Amino acid sequence: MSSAEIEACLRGERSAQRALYERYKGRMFAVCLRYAGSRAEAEDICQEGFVRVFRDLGQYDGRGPFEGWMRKVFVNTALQHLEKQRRRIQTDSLDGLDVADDAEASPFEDAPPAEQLIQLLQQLPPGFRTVFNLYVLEGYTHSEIADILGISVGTSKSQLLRAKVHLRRLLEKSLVE
Amino acid sequence: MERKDIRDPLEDYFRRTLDDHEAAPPADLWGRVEADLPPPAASPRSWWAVHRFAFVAGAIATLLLLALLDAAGRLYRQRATERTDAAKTPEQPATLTEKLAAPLPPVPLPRSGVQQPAAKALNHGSSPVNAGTYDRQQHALPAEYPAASRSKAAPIPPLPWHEHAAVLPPVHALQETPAPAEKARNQAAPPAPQRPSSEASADVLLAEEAPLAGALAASGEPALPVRAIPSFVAMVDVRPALGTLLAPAPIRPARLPSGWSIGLYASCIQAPSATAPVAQSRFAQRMLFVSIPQPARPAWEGGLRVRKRIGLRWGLEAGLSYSEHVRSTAYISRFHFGDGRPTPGGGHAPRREYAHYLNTPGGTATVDFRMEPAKDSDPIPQGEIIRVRATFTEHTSLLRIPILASCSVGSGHLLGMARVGVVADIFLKNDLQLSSLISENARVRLATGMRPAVQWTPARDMSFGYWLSAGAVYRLNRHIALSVEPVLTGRFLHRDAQGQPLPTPAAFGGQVGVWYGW
Repeated sequence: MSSAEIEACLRGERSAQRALYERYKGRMFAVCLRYAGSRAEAEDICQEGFVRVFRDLGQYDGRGPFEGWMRKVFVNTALQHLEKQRRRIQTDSLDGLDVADDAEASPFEDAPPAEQLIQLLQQLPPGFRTVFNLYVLEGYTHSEIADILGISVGTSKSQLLRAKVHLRRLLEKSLVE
Repeated sequence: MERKDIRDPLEDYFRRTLDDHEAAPPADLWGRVEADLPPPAASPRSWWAVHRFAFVAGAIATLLLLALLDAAGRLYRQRATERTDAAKTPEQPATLTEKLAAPLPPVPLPRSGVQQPAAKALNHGSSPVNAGTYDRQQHALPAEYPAASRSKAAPIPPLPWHEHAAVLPPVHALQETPAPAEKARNQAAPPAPQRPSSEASADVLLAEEAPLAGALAASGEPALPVRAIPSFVAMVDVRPALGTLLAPAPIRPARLPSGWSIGLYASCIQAPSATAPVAQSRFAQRMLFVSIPQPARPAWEGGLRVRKRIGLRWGLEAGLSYSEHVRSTAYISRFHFGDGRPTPGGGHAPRREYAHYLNTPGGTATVDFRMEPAKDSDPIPQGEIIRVRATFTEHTSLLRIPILASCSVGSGHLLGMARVGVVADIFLKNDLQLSSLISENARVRLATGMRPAVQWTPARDMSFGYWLSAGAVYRLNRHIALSVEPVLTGRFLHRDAQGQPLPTPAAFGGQVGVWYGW
């Protein structure tokens, strides 16, 4: 994304805004699908995310990659959307949770494609899904996730473990079927 | 200690599969996004794109009007001069200059040998100053002299000068009888020529006659008889006799003929600090702003102006200049911790989100930031007073188009000059930067990992202001002049792109310029 294209978008030129939309719509909509519980919800997040990108484009200082900045905007939009939907993140304790150490489990070489993985993610509870996305796909640490979501670090870890257990079961089930 | 280096096959698989994944959104999503975007026609740049041509056209029309007025004035003066010349008769000169330029009446030929005293002196090469003693009343012509009347109703046909000899009274008779040869020459001489209708006709006449009289005297020929010179001519005749010693110096024109001049100027304008912004409650915080003015940097301006003189003292000016200004201002917002909107994050104590609302001469801005307790073990009560110091730097570049009326007072080398008019300011650059945001309460800090969001709404690309200056102009010569003027300038009411009114502080400064006129 060149500075001239950004300037054109800031001036409100529809052609430049449409070009930016066409360039990033696929990747950003995939991000929205991962955080949303349904496709319709992902569409709402994607619509709001693009509006915020065009509104806050002047805040992009050009120091990092533009797609990274745009991705953060969409993630924040998704989180705020979840907050609006009052889907409170579950804060179950790790106490009593029997989590097997399956780090040595076989890799999922015959797993379904990305669309099916997204469908599996959407079957997760919102809290599990959000922590899994932030930790695994966005690369945040547990302390950062705790800051972002307003939960403790231990809660973030437990949410991640629970999400992985759920995903593994769902994945095995889908492979069997 | 987190162990992100431990690779989980499940995480790797999801990361590898979904990292570059793309999904097709619905086809109507762009239409929904576009519906939520502000219309492009409302952008300030498009507003300027429409009005800049109107302004340039107005400036060109002003210059054309000035040129038209100048041409019309020249034409009017030329025709008025022609009408005046046509209306005046040679027998009714109105002014001394016109009297001098009027043709002289035919000169009668002296009949007897009595020469006038002044004529004697003139004919014998002495100073013609004595001619000033000639009294017309003493040598009044008799009633029968037909040239005594100059009325327009009864014009007198010019007579050959030798025919006047028959009607001259004895008082005009020359004391010395001219020689027969001279008499014959006088009878054969043509009538007196018409004087040139110029201001220097008297000088030309004397300059032509004096060598002639001297040459006649030197040749032994009898002196020419005196001619009857009107008294007003004789009084002016002293000038060539005195020479350049007592004669007035050539008059330098006080104003240049065309009235156009062009000037280069530089101004240094010191704007006061921005006024305290109006606090607005966005999330129901009780915000109280205190503006702390920083040492303001002066705004430098340089440009070019063209001036057209209209009348004796007035003139119109138009030009183009460039101005650059950097303004830095600190604001302190004071509020209670519980006034902010609760947001996720912050450990045990929740974060709070607050908002600054700024209203500066360059535009308006909303700054969103989040704060959290410095220590998780130190909960912040709702009524804790928070003070946050935010420093903003505005960088402004302006293209200024002044249209001024000027008035000069005085004459000579040193003049007084005053200018007043309208200035159109066009923003070439108008940026706001958040230089620092510091909490002055040690128990509360800005949320870690959260950058303040600044939403800057700059002023409209074009605004109008006023310009007042009065000072001195020193004319080095006919073409070049220097000017020094104190300046008072400011803007009329102007708004940001969303229609919010902006402060309009007045600025003081000085201006120096060099002008070239032609």
